[in-house]
Amino acid sequence: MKITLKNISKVYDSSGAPVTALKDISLEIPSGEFFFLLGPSGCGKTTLLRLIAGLLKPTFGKILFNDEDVTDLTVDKRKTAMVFQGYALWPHMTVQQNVEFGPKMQGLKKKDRISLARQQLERVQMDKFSRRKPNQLSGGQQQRVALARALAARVECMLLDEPLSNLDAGLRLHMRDELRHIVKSSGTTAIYVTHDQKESLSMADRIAVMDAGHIVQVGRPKELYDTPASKFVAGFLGEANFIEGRLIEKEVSAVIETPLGKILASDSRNIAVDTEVTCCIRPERITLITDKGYDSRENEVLIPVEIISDIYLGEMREYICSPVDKKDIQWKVFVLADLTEGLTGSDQIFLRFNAEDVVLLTD
Amino acid sequence: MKNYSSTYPDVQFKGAITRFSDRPVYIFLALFITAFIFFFLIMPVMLSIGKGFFSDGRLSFYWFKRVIVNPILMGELGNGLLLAAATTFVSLILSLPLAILRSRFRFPGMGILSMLVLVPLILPPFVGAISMKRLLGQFGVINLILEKIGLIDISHALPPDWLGSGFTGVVILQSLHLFPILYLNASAALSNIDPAYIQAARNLGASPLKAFFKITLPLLRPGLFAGGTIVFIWSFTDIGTPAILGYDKLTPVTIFQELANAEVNPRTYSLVFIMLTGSLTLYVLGKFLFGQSAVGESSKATVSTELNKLGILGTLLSWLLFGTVIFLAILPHIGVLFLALANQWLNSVLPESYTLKHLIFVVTNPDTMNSIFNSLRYAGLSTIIDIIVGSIAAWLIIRVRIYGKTLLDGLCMMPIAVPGLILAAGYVAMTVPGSFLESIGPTRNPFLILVIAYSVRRLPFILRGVSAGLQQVPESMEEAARNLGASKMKAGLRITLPLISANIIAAGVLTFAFAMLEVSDSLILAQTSEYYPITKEIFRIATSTGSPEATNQAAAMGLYSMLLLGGTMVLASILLGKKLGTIFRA
Repeated sequence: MKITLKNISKVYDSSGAPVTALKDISLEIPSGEFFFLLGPSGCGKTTLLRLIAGLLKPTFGKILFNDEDVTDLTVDKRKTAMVFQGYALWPHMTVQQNVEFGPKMQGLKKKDRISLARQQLERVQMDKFSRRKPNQLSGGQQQRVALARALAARVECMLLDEPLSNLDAGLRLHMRDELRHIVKSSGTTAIYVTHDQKESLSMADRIAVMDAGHIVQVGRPKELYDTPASKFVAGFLGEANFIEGRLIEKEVSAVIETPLGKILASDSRNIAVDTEVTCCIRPERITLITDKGYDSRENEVLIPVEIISDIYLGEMREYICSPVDKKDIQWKVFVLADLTEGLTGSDQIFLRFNAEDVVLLTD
Repeated sequence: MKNYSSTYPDVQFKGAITRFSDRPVYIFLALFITAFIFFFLIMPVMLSIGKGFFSDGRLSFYWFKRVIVNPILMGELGNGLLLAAATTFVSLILSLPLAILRSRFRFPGMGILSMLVLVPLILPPFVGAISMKRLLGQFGVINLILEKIGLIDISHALPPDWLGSGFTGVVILQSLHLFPILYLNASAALSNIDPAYIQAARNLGASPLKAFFKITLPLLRPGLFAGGTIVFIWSFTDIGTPAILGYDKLTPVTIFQELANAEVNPRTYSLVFIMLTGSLTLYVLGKFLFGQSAVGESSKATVSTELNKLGILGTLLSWLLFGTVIFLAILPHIGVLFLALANQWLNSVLPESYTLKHLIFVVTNPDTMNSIFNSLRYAGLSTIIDIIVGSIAAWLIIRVRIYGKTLLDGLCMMPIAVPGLILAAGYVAMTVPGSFLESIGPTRNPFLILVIAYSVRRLPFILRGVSAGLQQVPESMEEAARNLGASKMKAGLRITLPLISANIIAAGVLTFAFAMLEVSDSLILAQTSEYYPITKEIFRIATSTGSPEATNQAAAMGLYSMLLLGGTMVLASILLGKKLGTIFRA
């Protein structure tokens, strides 16, 4: 099912002082896509999900399912299936009864309901627990039942509100793969709300990054990570080093004048010469080298630094470095743990990165 | 609204309004409840107060001044405040250690003991006081025991009266009757305190005692005030116990005598005004000034607590503490039991012989049976009204986004601050001879006003009980059902109702039981024997001088009442567990 949002705004006005939760959101989610709404808490992502479900009504704008206006359709007529953050499994019903509820509301016969529920419980490997009550299940099991309940509704749109946030770290990682597999194999359009960038990067077909009631960028995970449109997106999707500067030349490759000297960037997109820009470089794209006689290649940047601190993270080390004569600037660098030998105790250390790894931001 | 449309000129505004299509229903329901409270609580009370401020058809402070400068009446008011303060204090002393023991420690027999602590709540009116007189009075059982073991000599000097001047007796009886309300509130509040708060204090070096005084007690304060306010107002406006123990230098007793004996004059209504002001002030002080919770009601525990297991000595001491309090509190009940079964009981520790004739009398005598049927009808109807009105109110307050929710909640909780005596005075004022409502007045056919009075007074029970249930059902439970295609009605009936049914039933049976044994409205509003409810009938028998067995017959009725109340309390307590305390909240 294709979902279209047209100029959606939501203003809460319960206490007399209107609070704008969403501002002019327009979006199109094609049928079958696993779409993520990513943003910090309070950015409006859950509000947007609840608007799509029909649990809230937009103050302005329209919601279309397959080009049909559903804005004024009540929640029970919307035909979406939601997985709630706390699962909202009904404690007075068994697992089986919980899963059967959707089909029952659709008027399915008892025999069909039972087999449908069983089928979905098998799919999430919870068929052995069908007679239990929700409070006799672990968090992970409850999560699966909630998923089965949504799947059993056999609707073309699934809405997932931080479904993994109540699970412990190990199970969360495991469920990422499984959840994506189940959702994708069901063929429904799914919208997933989260504030966890790793979750969204690893599971999504496309992501909308939200901030303060706006969608700030929409794109595929790699696209967003590699070419963020703003400092906010770059920072929210992972670690990033920023350095302010001015674009002074863009003939062969772009040249940015910064307090650390000239930095090259390969893509200056539509930025005009003489514009103030921010250079964004991911910590894992930087290497630390010690060789004084190292020959700088074309399109490469070298900056002499001192190591301020050094944190062991298992698979890698995180270094905080400052340029030799600019102690107020700090850079973060990730280096694979087995490549760090000889770094400490060296006289001279350089940061090295390629022009292709420099993203220019203008916000 | 205009500025929105100027920001979004393309968007049609029409949709935004039609989306609140449920609003009229909510507003209608809220207005319905407001009207219920207005017509059946506020208006009668205002009417009765008004009568105290009118002289010869003109506004006048004449009667009010006469009350204020009357040293006897003012003395009675002072007595009442002192009495209520003493009762509340003694109740606190009795209940707090028990509540702490129950919620922080574990020992064998705790379940049964914490159930038995509630027994005092089922003490029927009047007969408890009569039995205490029999036990503790000058020629009572205690003195007889003391004489038997040679500690006093009745034949030489008058033995001591353990109930004292009457004041002490009333305090003892009321405290023993009412302390479970504080106990329930304190237990509920204690179990709501996140153990992490206390663990954090202990972790930072606080001793258990310091952690109790610095952390537990301040967090407990709203719970204690909520319960304390109810005990205080109950004691301040009680008629039954003082009347039977002969301590009549109290404002409520004076008001009762004047209202019940048709000597109603503006002075009575001025007294009503003063009582109401007192109760309302206490309520407001208790709720808003001292009772505000610092952490909110539903602070969820983030860590589990390991209850301290008590050793043998600790268990014995706990048993001793619980046992002593329960024994004292159960004395009146034992007295009622013996009185109801005694054939002859004069100058002996235990009755000389036993009989079932009093119990049989109750179920065969047309007057007593009539009163039982009356009470069943009044209490049953009022409970149904309460469940409907209270559940709607709770749902509006907890679940619906409408303006003035706090006001609605305040209105529905007002009966807690308006004692039955004052409400009764209001109904008397509303139905005075000559008014168009005379025909439903106390001397004609008070069926309607009794049902309404009962339901108005117990509305807060249902509201609090159902609200507590609704608060514990996350809204996402209903939303999940709606999302899967259930209509609002279906989601309510299939999801919410089953989840809060325990609360509704528990609050309902308690409401019913308390309505069955309601005192002040029953005494004042039922003045023809045809319409007497149980309590009025007990009062009539207990105070009649015609038959020497009257006391025993009253006790027999009391025994039946005790069994009824006891059964309902057990049922409610099984259904609600520790949440039982939430019903007795201001």
